[in-house]
Amino acid sequence: MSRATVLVGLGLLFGCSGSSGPGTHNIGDSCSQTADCGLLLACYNEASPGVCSTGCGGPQGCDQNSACATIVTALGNGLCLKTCTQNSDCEGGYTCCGALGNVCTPNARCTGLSPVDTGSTLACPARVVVNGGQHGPAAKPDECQKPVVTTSFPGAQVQVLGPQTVGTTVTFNVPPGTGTIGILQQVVGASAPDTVGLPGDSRFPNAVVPFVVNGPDGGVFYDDDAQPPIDQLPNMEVVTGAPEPACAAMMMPNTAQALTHQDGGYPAGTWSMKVNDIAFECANHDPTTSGCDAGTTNQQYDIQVVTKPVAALTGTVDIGIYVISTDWTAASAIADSSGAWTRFLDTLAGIYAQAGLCLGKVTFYDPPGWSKPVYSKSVAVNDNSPCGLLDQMFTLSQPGGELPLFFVDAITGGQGALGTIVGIDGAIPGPAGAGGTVHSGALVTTADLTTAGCTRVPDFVNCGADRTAYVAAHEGAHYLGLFHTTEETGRLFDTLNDTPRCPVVSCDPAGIHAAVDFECNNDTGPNICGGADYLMFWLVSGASRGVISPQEAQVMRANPIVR
Amino acid sequence: MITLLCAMLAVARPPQPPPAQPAPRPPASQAELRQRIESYLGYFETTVPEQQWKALGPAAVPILNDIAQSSQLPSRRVHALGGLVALQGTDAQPLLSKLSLDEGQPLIVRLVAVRGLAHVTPDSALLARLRPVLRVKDDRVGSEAAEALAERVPKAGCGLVRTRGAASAHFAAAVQACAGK
Repeated sequence: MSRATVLVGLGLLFGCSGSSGPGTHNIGDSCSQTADCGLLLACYNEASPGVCSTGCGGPQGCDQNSACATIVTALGNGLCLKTCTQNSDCEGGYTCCGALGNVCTPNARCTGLSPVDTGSTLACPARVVVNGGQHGPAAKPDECQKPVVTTSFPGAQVQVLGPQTVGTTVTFNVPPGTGTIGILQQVVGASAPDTVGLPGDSRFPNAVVPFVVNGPDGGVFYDDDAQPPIDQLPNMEVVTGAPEPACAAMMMPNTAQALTHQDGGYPAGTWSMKVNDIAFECANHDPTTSGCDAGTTNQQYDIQVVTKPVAALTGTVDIGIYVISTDWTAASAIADSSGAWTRFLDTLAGIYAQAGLCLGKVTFYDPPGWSKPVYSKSVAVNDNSPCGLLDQMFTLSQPGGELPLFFVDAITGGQGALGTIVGIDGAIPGPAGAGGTVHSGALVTTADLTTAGCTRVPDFVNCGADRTAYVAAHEGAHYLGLFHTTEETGRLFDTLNDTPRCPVVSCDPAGIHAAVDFECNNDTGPNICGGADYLMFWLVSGASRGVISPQEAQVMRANPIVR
Repeated sequence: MITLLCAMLAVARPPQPPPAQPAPRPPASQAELRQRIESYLGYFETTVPEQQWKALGPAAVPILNDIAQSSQLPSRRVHALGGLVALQGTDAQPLLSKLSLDEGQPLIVRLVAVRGLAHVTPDSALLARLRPVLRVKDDRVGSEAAEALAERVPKAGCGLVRTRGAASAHFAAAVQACAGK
């Protein structure tokens, strides 16, 4: 789907009667509908009267006599608004807003603490915030938990294929009009090792991943032995993320190629997949695992397939917030008089609004009391074992189709690491609709969750609540299936083709050996070094705008937890 | 997990060793120094590699000192503390001790100060340096010191750790690490 298609669809939410106006009004002139506005302009009617405007940000600038104001709407992170020096330069109902760069903004946008877009341009229903109470085992389990969870979606969407031994080929049905196919694989009992041995005493996660996935005509949608060059990843039908033992989800679509199935849907009929993990490949002397130890052949995985019709241009995602901070409880977060949690949710909503997503029900949970001293400050980001603190903490998430966000006081970088970690995903993608698995969540710290430094606009550098929302939105987007636009190394990129890249080999004049914001903030010109303004860039900086590309938005909306 | 993702995005395969990298070059100007520091303060899924901080050179120290003590955002402060530990080593000890003992500091700042303190202190001096931290009122901070003692100097430190941690669940990991030592 092209950017233009998205904008036409979302344009309706601007009270438009068409994709752009045939009228003569310029940016900043009053309007009642888009037909009043000139070519390529829309009527931005948050205040009355509306004003003609267009989106801006990144390479997209504004015409003379207007400037790009940081107002997040369905048109992007910015709106071109008329420049001014005093209120009399603006229409009634508008203020010459210094905080937004001396542009005429609706009065409500230039007053109060929190003018962050709440998704209202998407006609989102009022956000519902509830206290979900305390859940979880009364005492810390003595043994590592690897539960098999049944996915919580309407029956027709879920096909439970049950426990299957590795090497088995299973079939499932894909109905006509299906836009999303999710395959969830969960280890049964302790039947599979968490790691496989490699030469030199090192261990590698025993990734659970289908060996092959075939469509109804036998066409190959995934082949675990295929090792495409990095630049071919967008052309694959599906790409897997980090190796996940014990529990892993595969979600289609997550590539540019896969998004080509979003018009009519994936081929309908009987699909098949071969159950597999790396230990099984070792046992079978698969050439891609040469040198590994003997491997195993009897392990079993519970297989569930989730399908979803082709996603609409907008959707709603429910959020579960698990408060494992010693400074907060679910009740105190909901009642927070400082406004930090409200601002956090407003900013999160504003960022996700760019993907056409509304926040639906937000449920705050209190995990059991024993969990706070265990997890609140001790989770190490580099411990990716299913029995490690991070994965075991995620088993506290509740069943249901929420986006589970865990909040702790601190996350460590592991042995010898300096500084701190602010957020981390549980898996890419997370197991949609399957709360309680070892990968059912994303993790964020409450360290910056205050209104200190917060001014009127989203400020991801100085405003703690906004910064926390940015990190939560980023980790949540991983859960929904997005990769980094450019990885820290500047040598690996996402699987889409409408996001700018920042290859370190051509974009690192400072010689840092990492693709950082000031090197990756140029989306134009012959030598693009871009992406620092994107939500899925790997660091947050003054260049961050939380941009979500049309393809990224499509992947997010395709996730089964988006309704 | 993200670090692994870098190497493993395409297919779930054992990783190849990363190519050897020369050390990052020093900043070419004061402006670039500040740009690089700002970038490093924005790491959120990974910590800043020690060699990147060290490549900034001593000119970064006053800037990082200022950020570590006065920024409004605790995550920026603790990244700056990480930079000071990398650049100053034991010379950062007075600041780290002060912050770890200061009850008015945000929790994350105190925790990272304790970790930094342990990082710059040799085993021979660790007990003396962390003993005051072990005694602070906030168990979350004290247990951080206990965990360092249990791991690094169990013979000398575990008696204290068991005594201090007997009545607090926050010390469970440290007490467990001391079991049998």
